[in-house]
Amino acid sequence: MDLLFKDADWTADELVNADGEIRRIAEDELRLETYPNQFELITYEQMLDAYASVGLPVMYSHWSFGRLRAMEEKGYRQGKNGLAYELVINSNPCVNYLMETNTSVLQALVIAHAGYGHNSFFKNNYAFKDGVDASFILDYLAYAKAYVAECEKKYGPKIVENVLDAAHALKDWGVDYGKRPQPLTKKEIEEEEVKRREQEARDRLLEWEVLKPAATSPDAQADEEIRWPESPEENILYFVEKNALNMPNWKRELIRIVRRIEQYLHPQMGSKVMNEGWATFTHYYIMTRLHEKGGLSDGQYLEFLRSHTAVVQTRGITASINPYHLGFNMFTDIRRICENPTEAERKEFDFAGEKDWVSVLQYAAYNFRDESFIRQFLSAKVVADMQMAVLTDEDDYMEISHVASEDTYKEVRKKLADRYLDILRVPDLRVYKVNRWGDRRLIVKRYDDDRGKLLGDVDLTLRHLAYLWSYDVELIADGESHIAITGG
Amino acid sequence: MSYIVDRRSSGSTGGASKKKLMDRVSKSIKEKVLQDFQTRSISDVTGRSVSIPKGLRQPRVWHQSDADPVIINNDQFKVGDRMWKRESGGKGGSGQGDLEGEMEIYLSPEEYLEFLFDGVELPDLVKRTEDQEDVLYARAGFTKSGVPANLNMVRTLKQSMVRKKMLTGVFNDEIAELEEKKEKEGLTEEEEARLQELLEKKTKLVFIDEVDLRYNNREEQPKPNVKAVVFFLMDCSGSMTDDKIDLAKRFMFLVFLLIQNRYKTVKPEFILYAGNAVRTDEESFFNTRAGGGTVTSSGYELIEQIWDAEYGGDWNGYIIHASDGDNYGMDDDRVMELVTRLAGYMQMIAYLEVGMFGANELHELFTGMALPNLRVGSAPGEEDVVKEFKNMFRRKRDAGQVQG
Repeated sequence: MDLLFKDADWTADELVNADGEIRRIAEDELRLETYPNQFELITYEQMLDAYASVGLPVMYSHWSFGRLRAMEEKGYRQGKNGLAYELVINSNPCVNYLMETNTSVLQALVIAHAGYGHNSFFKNNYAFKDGVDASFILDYLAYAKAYVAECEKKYGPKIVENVLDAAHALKDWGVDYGKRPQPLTKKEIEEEEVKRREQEARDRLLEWEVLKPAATSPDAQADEEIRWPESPEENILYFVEKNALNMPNWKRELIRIVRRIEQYLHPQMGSKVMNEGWATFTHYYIMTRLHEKGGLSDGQYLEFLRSHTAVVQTRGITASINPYHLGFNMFTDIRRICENPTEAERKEFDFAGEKDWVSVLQYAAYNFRDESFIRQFLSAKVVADMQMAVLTDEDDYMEISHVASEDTYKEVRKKLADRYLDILRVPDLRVYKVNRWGDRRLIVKRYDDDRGKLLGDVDLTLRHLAYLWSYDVELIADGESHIAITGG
Repeated sequence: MSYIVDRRSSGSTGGASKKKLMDRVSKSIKEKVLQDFQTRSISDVTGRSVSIPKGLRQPRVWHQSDADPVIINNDQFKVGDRMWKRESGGKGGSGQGDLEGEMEIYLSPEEYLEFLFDGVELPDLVKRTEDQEDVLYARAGFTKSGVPANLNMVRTLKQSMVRKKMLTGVFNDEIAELEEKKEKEGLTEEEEARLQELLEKKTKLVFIDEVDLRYNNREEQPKPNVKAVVFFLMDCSGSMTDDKIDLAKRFMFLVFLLIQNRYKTVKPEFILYAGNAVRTDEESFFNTRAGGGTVTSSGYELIEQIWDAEYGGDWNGYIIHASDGDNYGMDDDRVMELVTRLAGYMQMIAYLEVGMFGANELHELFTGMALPNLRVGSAPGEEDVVKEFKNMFRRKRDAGQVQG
């Protein structure tokens, strides 16, 4: 293979050629299946925009994204984050960003990392495959952006902001956990759907109005006994969107937009370690092979190693573990266990000694999420190499209960997996009941009282919910009742 | 199959969200900008980070984690070691830490100005400077067409002489030939007529023909805008209250920004005057008060001294003068004399009267002088600063003025 790049500057032709060589290694040696790639050359400002819009290239405008962008921009000015790396959209085709100021080596690294690492993960990991429809996300985002802008024009930016603020506050309870969402569709179809839903909503409102008996009648009393919804609804935003009485349809559509984008983003929460680890393992393998085949000079390979090393480290004693660091170490170690297992590992892992390590790695990457991946694959060696230790909460202080060793690594592994499970869990709040025939109060109940106490802006969040519902809202949690009164 | 798309030209879209953010906290940003402006240096034209308050975040609800945290890189702690907790709840390490504190937002110089001058529409500084690029008219040879004023007589006469010499030369040859023949063998009737025609033509040659005309050619060449010195001149007599100084500072900041855009190097000089003038640094410039009379000429005298001793030559000079307009009556003539002279070598002298309703002495004096590069304005209050700035620095063409 000839050198892929003459020097640190790149040309479009060189990028196309490099992509071809990278793909060859990805497909022939790592047997990766990917969506087609679309690489987009962008400026650093566009990269900032995308980072700030939760990683999406087209986003409706809202102050919170401006806030994120301001933080990214400040970091960039201070040189804190290089922004050099990748940004990739789970879409088909898979959209990858290449920042114009990246050197040629960095561009190759990003192509390998995002275009083949993340891309294959998006296409094959079960949480993405079953949970997200990647086909029309960009179309949908464009639709959402236009719709929000249109609403701002029609109803004023302030009220649109209020609705979005409220929906954002509740977005953790706007996701269907474990259900496959309706596929996202093209803009035209989406617009037709809006009309259909508007009709639906009109019918439903009619029902509320016409059937409403006097609150004092015996029938009303009886009706209140029948709980509605019949079973508690965990998707609170969905419930409000469908059933709020005094809500114009455009507000329902705004809630729906927030909900669907959150649903699309949701699988990424539970698989950061795996996703980044897999992409990093992929780029490391591919870049090393390119160097071996003569596509990268020694100097270029050294430049790559410097960037790579910076990415896969966590500084200092800390509980915020860099997902690239942990993920890369784990995938690298799974390969080692295939190729060069210890006696203990032969007993512990059934794939130890397996010659076809590529298959083992793909199995590990595609069929787990962070929590289960750690539980299944974290080895004694990684626990020791990363100098892990467990802290136990003793109310006033934290005490070291385990440090890495032959005897304790299983306990450490369990604690780490529990931790990743916990991060994923939002408090289990569900719509318990609506006083349908009385004061129309919406009652939300917490279903995981046994876990830690609710923290944060409970009352403020509730007020946002009351704003959307437009009647009083009550939350029953931790043996207390919080009430938000509308108009208050 | 992969595709590469160049998206760079489609530009940034972050503006809309940033604008919304700033609208949401405009009150507190404005406060912070005003605070910052009190202490900032007017010769510093970079953007600024200002912090915006707590509470600017979307609410979140989570539950206390019951999972024991796992730390890495533990190269020192043993089982049983204890560490005290910091005061914070939350699901630590989930990346939400920054939500609690104040955050900083970066304001570009333009955004900063917008807050400083509270949404008053500012002139487009950068664009103006492109239009206002100073030019020199340099000689560049001669042309055959032009306006009479540019006619170059010497060149034109030379051309005329050459033309006549050439044409008579042609005629002379033929005349000599014909005359020689006439003497030897006589001429035919036709030849005789030709000879007479030639002799007549020779005397009738036009003195200056249109083809002789030569005009001086001048070409516009951009003036090398390399170095500029800005003299900030301020009255520091007792009548200059904090309010007035604040107005002066705003104005000077704007003018400095404008000038700064046009040159590679811009040096500020600070001159204070009351009874007499002193050269000072920026900090004392905005913080010094002196008693005694107000002798404006002392300031201009000092500027002239400094200019002669340290600048001149290829420096572009500007004087930005702020005062409440009081001047010692006997001093007016001296001020006029000095300003007239200085206007000859300065690019511009700008005078802003601050905090006064109606024109005070200096305003009247300067307005009366009507020098093209002496700009005069008056700003009784904050909102007038930008207005006056715009009036004074309107494009030359719009204002119909010619700058020396």
